[in-house]
Amino acid sequence: MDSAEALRALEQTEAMRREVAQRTECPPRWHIAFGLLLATIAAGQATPLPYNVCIEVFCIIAVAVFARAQRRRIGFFVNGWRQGRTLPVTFALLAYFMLIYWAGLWLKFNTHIWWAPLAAAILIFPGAVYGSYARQRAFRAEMSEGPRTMAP
Amino acid sequence: MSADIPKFDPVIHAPARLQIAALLCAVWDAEFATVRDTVGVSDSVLSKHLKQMEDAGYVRLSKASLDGRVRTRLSMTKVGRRAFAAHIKALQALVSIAEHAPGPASLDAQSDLAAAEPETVL
Repeated sequence: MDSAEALRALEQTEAMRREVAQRTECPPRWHIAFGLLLATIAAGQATPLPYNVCIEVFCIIAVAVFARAQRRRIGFFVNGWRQGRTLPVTFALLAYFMLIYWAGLWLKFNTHIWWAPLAAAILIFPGAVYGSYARQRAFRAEMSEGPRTMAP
Repeated sequence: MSADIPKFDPVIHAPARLQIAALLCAVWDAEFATVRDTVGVSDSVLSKHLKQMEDAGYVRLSKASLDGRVRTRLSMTKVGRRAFAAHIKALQALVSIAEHAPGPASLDAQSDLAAAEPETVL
């Protein structure tokens, strides 16, 4: 193999990654649905037992439905916890969610503000939608850059 | 000098398998039909390539039901991802040598890389 063949091989790899990047563009309703899902997890804590547990279970099932729907739409699944540029975005989103989620729970149990989880859900929704967009943008940027910065 | 030069991977070296690896490394898993259509090969050719990658421990195949049909899902293993990254490094090293340092020393290095090139299994 000479350098021209190596360059061609790298270009083919980059083209493949660009193809993946193009396919992973989700319509806005996907990001909104993701935001609603995280908001529902938080809002569910405003309800008494066993309803809050039922809502959590529903949300876990919804995550599986999301993954299934993505596979059906584009033929593959991109995990948010993959190595690469999306990982810091995922951690930031998780930190944002957990902070507000626990604040809502703390207020509910310590100050008896029953609607605190609902307020938390209202705060979580826009952050989750933005986070979902940011994660998609980070993934597409990484794929468009080619394999030179590829994380194993 | 040869010790510092990354080696080409004989399994990933073939163009079709390089593309399969590039696709699978970018995602968590992908459906057989999607990989086939994206790479632009037939079912049998893809199966042949996947068999070699699976034998090397680079690809994992699993069956899952979707819309009432059993579909084959492909994913890259950790070993496969590492091998792909190393192979890309070797390609980049070869390109970099040719691009940035033309001269007798780079020619030596290019020869080392060429010597490291495996027999391509098609």
